[in-house]
This record gives sequence, structure tokens and C-alpha cells, in this order.
Amino acid sequence: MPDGAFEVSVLTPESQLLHVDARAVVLRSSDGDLTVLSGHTPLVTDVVPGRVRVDPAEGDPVHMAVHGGYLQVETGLGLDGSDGRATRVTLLAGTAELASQIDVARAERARAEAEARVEELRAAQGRAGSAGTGPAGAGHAQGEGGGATPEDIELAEAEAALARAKVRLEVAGGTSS
Amino acid sequence: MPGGQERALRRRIRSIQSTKKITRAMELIAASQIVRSLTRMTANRPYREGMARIVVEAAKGDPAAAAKLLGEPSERQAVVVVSIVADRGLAGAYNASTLRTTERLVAGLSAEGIAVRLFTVGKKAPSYFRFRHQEVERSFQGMSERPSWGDARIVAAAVSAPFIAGEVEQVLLVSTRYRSAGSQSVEVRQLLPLPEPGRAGVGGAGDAGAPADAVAGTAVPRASEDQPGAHGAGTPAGEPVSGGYTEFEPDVETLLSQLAPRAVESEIFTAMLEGAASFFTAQQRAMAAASENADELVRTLTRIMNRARQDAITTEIMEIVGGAEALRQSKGA
Repeated sequence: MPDGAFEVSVLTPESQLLHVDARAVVLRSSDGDLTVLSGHTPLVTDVVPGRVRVDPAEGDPVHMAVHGGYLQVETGLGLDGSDGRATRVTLLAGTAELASQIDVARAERARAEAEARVEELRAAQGRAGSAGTGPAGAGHAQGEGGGATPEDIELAEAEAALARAKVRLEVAGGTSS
Repeated sequence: MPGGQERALRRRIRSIQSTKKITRAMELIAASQIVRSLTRMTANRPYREGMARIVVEAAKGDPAAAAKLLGEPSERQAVVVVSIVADRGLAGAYNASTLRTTERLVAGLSAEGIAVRLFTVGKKAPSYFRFRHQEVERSFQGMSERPSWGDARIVAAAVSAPFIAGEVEQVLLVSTRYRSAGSQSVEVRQLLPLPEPGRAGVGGAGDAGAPADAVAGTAVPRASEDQPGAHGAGTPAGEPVSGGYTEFEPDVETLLSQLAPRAVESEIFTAMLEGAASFFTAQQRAMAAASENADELVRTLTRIMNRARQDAITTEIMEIVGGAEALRQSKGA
């Protein structure tokens, strides 16, 4: 491994998105922007939805759209199999994609759809209050123990979809220029 | 009447042969699905291990805060039980053994005076429990064979909600673990509070322990270590010695309370993936056995049919000979 480089894995439940030797990882946590370099103090932090940049030891920076996740920085002895001090960075995200893999046209469509859906649901909620029934999601709920109504859940899902589409567009837009 | 029996047998053989075509096709399909499920399980493993590491790290950061979310509940008044089975049958004992374990667990908890709220995944579960008058609070269907991350999140959100709201003290998961191609077994695990790091996470007291009846009739622990034993939130092997203390952003307590639902999602997703792999393995085995049985039936029936035909021919010859003899005698007289 070249000097000043460290192991970075970006993991999602369905795949290992990225596994490279990197010089820096740039991301945003709920406390603000953060850059992780080799030898960074051990850290566990959340990652807010947005762009994450990884600068590999060789080659061009990799941009990713991360829809929320967690980052762990481990610095210690023997992490890379050798005897020396090493840093290892693991980014866990429920959903994440490489900027190069984002389909801008599709994201744009998804954004428009999600926007319309959010508007529609908000309007419906304003009118009907919490009354009414509607199937939501997979499976069927019987006797939900209070709390969120199907409408609330649907609205939250639509809003989340909208947020995801926006992040995708932002990240994809930034790299094409 | 001779000939009638032969025709009936021939019809039965044909019917068995076409059934065999179906079971053979299902066997082949299941075999290909096993490969797909295993690939997805392998792809999921780094995430799950990363999640386990991060939870362990956070738990070490603030043991006081961790105590609320980790370990065994001291007292249980109500628990959530989540049972994961398949949407379809024809997979040997796969559904039955998971459901039976669930039923036993529920009965055991009820006997202790603990209220049970049952959640199920898979179409086979609600009908089983309805027949036994066990109420199912919520069931999810149509996601067992190819579970997606989104499916797992929906299930996780539903089953964690009562725990987060403080209505239950524990969330237990009953599902089939995929150990290797030759061995799958039903296991009861604790989802919430998160199992103590380093422990296998077999939750619940008493009968809940010990892997229940193995699905695999031939549980040969093969040498192929395609699925290492490190299941669930156990600390991954070769854990490094972190140099000094770890920083947390935001504070550990906030972080842990956010991480816990993610960890549950991860566990459920893994369980669903392993369940799918186990389902197809069980189905392949069941369908292979069915095809073999069909072969044997055809062999036996063919033999009976040949004998029936032979008998018919013999009878006919006897009749002809007898008739000819009678004619000759009546002429000579």
C-alpha cells in the first residue's frame, strides 16, 4: 500500500460498492464537513445524505451519492495485515450509488414523480385530516398499535424518494461538469 | 375384464411421468435459485459485519447508554416474535419446522405469562396460525423468495416500533439459518435489545435456546467452509486493537439509538436472505426426492402392468385352446 493511503470500503446491504486504497474521504456528517486522512483518530459518525468523495491512491476521485449512513474510522495496529499502524474506513449506507452509475434522466423523472406525489398527498392530508383508508406498502396491516397512519407513512416515503432523487441529481450534476 | 386393468395402469404411469417432469423442472429451478441466493448472501456479509463492528465500537464508547439497548431484558411482560417463512410450499419441512418452532416458542412464553405479539413474513405463516387460533398482528407477503433491502426495512420498522414505543421488552426472531449446503437449522435469536457483542445471540430463556430440529435430514457437516460460523452480531474474527479511544459524532447515546434500528434492518435482511437460500435448498432436496420416487413408482407400475398384460394373454390363449378343444370333441361325437 502506498504511503498515506488506507483501506476504504463502501458497503450497502446488497453489495460492496467500493473497496480501494485511498488518500482521503470527504463527506458530511450531522456535525459538519469531514475529511478523513490516513492516521485519523478512531471515529464513529453518521453520514448525512449527499455527496461522498473518495480520493483513491491512484486514479481520479470517486464521487458517490449516499442516502444516509454511518462511517467508522479505525486506526490501530495490524489492521492491514502488517505490523504497522494502519487506518481502515468503513462506510455503511442503506442505499448508495456511484456518481458514474446514476441515470440522470431517470433521477429527473423520479424527482418529478416524487414531487407530484408529495404535493398530492399533502393536499389530501390537508383535506381529509386523518380519516380515510388506503393500502400502503407491501403486506397488510391489521390493528396498527397507534402512531403513524398509512397516509403518514406514504407521505414520508414520497418525501424520502424526493430527497433521494435530489441527492442523485446533485451528485451526478457535479461530476459531469 | 382383461385389458381394462392394463389401460388403467398405463394411464397412471403416464400421469406419474408428467408429474415427474414438473418436479424435475422445479428441482432445476430451485438449484439455480440457490446460486442466486448465495451470491446475495455473500454480497450482504461485509455490510453485516461492518454493522456489527460499528455497534460494538459504539457500545464500548458508552457502556451506560449501551446497557439500555444491549443485552438481556431483566424482565419481560410482552415480547414481539417475528417468524420468517416462505410464500410457497413444496419445500419439504422448511416452512413446517420454522412454524413449529415459532408455535412452541409462543406457547412457552404464554405459559410464563408473557404477552406475545406475533409478526410473520411469508404467505405460509398466517394460514398455519389461523388454523391454530394464534393471532397474527401483522403479516408480510410476496417478499420471501427475493427479499430486497426495502422489504427488510419495512419489516424491521414494523417489528421495532413496539420496542421503541416501550410496549415490549424484547423482540425475538425465528428463522432458518443457512450454515452450509448440507445443513440448515431453525434458530431463535434476539433482535432487540441488541445481543451482547461476542454472543451468538440466541435470545430468550428456557426452551428458546438450542437450535431446534434441523431441516436437513442429512445434516452432514461438510468440510466446505462456504459459510463460516460467524453469524449475526458476534464480533468478527481478527478484531484489531484500536489505538486509544474512539470519537463519536453525534454523542454515543444518540448514535446508538439511531444505529439500533439499522442493525435490526441488517439482521432481518440477512435472515431473509438466508431464509430464501434455505428455502430453495429444501425445495431442491424435496423435488429431487419426489422425482426419484416417481421413477420408482413408474418401475413398479410397469412391472404390474406387464404381468397384467401377460395374464390377459394367457387367459385368452386358454380360452381359445379350451374353445377349440370343445369344438373338436363335439365334432368327433
